[in-house]
Amino acid sequence: MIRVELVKLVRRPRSWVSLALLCGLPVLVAVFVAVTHLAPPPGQGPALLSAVLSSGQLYPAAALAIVLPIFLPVAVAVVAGDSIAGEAGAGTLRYLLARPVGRTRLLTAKLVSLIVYTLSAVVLVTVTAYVTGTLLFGAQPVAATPGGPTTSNIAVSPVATSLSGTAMTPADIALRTLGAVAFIAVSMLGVGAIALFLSTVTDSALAAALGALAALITSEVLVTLNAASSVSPYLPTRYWLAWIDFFRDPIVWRNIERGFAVQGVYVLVFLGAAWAHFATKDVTS
Amino acid sequence: MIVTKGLTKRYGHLLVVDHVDLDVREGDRYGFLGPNGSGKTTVVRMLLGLVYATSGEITVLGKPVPKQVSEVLPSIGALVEGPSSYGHLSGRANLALIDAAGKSGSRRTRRRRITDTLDRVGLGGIDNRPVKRYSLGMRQRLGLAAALLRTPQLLILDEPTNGLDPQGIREIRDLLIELNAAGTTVFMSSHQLGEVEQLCTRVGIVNRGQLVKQDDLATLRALTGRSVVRTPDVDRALEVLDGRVEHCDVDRLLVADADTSALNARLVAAGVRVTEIGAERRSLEDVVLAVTGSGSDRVDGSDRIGAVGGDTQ
Repeated sequence: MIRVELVKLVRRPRSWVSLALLCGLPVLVAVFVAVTHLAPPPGQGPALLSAVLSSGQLYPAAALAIVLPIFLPVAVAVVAGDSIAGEAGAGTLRYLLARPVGRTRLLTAKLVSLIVYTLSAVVLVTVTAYVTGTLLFGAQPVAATPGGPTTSNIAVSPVATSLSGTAMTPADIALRTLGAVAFIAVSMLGVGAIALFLSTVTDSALAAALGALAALITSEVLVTLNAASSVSPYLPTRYWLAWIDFFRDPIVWRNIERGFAVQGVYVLVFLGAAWAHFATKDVTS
Repeated sequence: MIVTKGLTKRYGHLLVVDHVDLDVREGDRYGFLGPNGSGKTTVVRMLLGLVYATSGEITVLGKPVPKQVSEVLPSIGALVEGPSSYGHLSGRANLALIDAAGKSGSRRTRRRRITDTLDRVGLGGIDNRPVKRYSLGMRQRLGLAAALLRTPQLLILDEPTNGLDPQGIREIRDLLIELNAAGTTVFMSSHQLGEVEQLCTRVGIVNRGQLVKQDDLATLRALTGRSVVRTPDVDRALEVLDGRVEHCDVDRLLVADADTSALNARLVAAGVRVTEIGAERRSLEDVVLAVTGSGSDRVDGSDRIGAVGGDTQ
């Protein structure tokens, strides 16, 4: 069944369009920044973007910061919200279950296909951003170091630096980016789990996706609200930006660990709820 | 094949299926009749384990449902409330996906089985266009193909000829009779009485969630004990049959006498010309209308609002 779900994912034009859009936005931003050489000052605009002019190798991280707030959660919520509700809406759910595909198996297969989609989205954004970054901003730190007459008067620092100002080697950057990719993928799975649960509740894929996004927006609002500080450590978006800590030297693990823990709990709770509801539900679609 | 005992389904306060005792035997072509909204589809969904019964027992192919439904379903081909497919894929791709789902059919024989099944339902020459460009009849055929993919022992079909033209209806009927002759039990729900009359051997009639009649079609369509006579000499015939004519409609007389041959001899002997004579048989329509009310899709009200636009002049 997992194979069938993956085939469906791959053969669906929507998957490719959404991935292309996700990868396209950071490319667009990169082109503007490269042409104008106007990066936002540190502390404003998407995280890390101010640093990319010094090294294209940091661009994958900047790209993740660009797609993280809206694009990525929307894409994941749409795919996850569609998983069960989409089949119900199209009328194919009853035929799958009458095949028979066990309800737990179907849910598992949908989850695997969702994980595959989320991971490919995050990884693809990272890879295209790396390619764009190194092409447009060039700065391989090593390439800039030989003291030739032409390179000696480059104004920007030739070496990629961490947010704490220390130098990072390409291998170091790669490792830190990998950590960020894993963290963001898990965060997105948290969104996916909420949407997947809603997808078992409603027969409308749109409602499930929007419901999950509404939950995120509520969370974002509460996170910024001092009055809600008592609940903020448990909100799904509270530690979303903690992956930036991977680019500090030394890495600040506290929020990263909490972020993983919170998302883990959300994934478990909502998947459990999705399973409990779907396994006992009357399928009338 | 299918036995239910006291099958009941409630949605909140709404009683949809009320103590239904179905009995479908092996080799039957069973017609499940009833007005719209009488609970047919809910029963079908419960048989397939899609909807869980509030109370009552279901046994399909000798196994309890929904407890062991996963062992039963591989031997069942189903068409529930119209066919559905992934619209952006071709018919073949759809069948391949459905065949690979669940306890998948053998991968080696998949291509051949799909081709055979498509031939059977009359889609053998189908091209690669996506299903969303299929006509209603083609989708119906594709749905049937999906139900037939694994040569099931039991076919559970909900309105199988919906959207087909008369030619297509006949093809599908012939196909179902052929499958039945080869040993497949057919359970089909329908509100097309004519279709059921021509295809089925046994009939169950459901009304407002209750099974109000279940019998062999031949028994239901019993003789009424009356004869129908057509004659151009109506007045003369009335005289001869003095008082035994129950109803007279232009040249058609309904006579309270089951012995058509004796009746015929008597009329002819008296010089009455007989155009047509035969024993009256109850039509399925009479039977059904006698035991059911109007469907739940009819909502009577006191103040009707006329159709919007078009009828103002």
